[in-house]
Amino acid sequence: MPKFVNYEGISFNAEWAATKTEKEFVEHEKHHSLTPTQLKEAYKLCKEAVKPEESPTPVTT
Amino acid sequence: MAISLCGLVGENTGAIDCDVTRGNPAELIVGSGAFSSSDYADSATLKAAFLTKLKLQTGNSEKLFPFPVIQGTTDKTEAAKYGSLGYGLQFKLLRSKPGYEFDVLAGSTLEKKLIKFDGKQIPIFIFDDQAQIWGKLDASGNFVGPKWLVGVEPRPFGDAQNPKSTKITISLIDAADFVENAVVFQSDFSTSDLVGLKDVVLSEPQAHASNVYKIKMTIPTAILNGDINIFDTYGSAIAALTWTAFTGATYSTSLTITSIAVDNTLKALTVTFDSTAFTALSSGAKIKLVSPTPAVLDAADVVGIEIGSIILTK
Repeated sequence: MPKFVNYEGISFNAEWAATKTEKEFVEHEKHHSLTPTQLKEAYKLCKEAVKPEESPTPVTT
Repeated sequence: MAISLCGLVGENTGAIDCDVTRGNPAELIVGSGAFSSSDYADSATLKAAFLTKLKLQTGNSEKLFPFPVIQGTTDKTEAAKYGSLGYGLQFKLLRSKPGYEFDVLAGSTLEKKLIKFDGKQIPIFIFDDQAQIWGKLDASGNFVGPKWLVGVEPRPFGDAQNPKSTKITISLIDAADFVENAVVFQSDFSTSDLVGLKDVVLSEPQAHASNVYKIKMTIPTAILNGDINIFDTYGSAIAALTWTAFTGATYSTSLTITSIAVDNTLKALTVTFDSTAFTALSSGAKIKLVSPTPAVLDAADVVGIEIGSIILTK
């Protein structure tokens, strides 16, 4: 199941968004009642939601 | 000493103090749902398993359908048949066949759902007023409902003389399920736990704009122009859940949904498909939009409904 991120009441498919550039995302979702700035914020949230978790740095003694 | 087979006839007849007895029927739970021995290993597990089967999707053979709460019971059991020989010795020729008529309160909308069970042989668990669920064990040791032949008669117009109700009649297919095979689950349910789902249908309130579709969610009623739009109650919560879409002859090819939003003007959802994949579809191609399951809805506090799917056209 794809991961969805909610921004201003709209659920965005984060996995799909991560495959697009910011410009492509904003163009694709511009029909929602969000400003370009808000769409860019939504895009950023989507990218962060699917970012792989960083492995903890091993401690050496 | 008598030579006799009587010692092999039955089993010991010592009564158990406080043995279970049938109460007054409170609700019928209809369907083929079966509970394995691991399901009924303890009361809490069986209770959870029961509630799960009430929230399965229509079409799932394990789904259980609770009927309306019973307001009156008339015993319609076919009496046992007896005959006697010339000197008066009476023989029982045929055992009785349990049957009952129940009064339930159902509006015209619900009657359209109940009437689909009319004439069907269907397993039924009977929930009584002592919170006992009566069923039987099948050959595999599963707790199931015995099969009854169901009749549904609608509420007639009033006559200003007698109360009227919807009538549900049941007649037991195998009389042995009433005694020899009968088992009971002593639950802590109340009838408010055993409630059926309402069907929500999807429709398009206006033509789609390329890959962007408007989807309305309504509960049909018997009232002309009286369908209930669930948007105000559940629109935002449902928009936050995961929907899926498929294309192809057997709807097995996934079509990506890029966003779902609420449209407060149309009181509908705005569903957007990936424009690249959408454009690649041929004109007139069919898209099946699939809603979250009743279990997913229930987990999100969107309770008591099942949303159907809709076939959209490009």
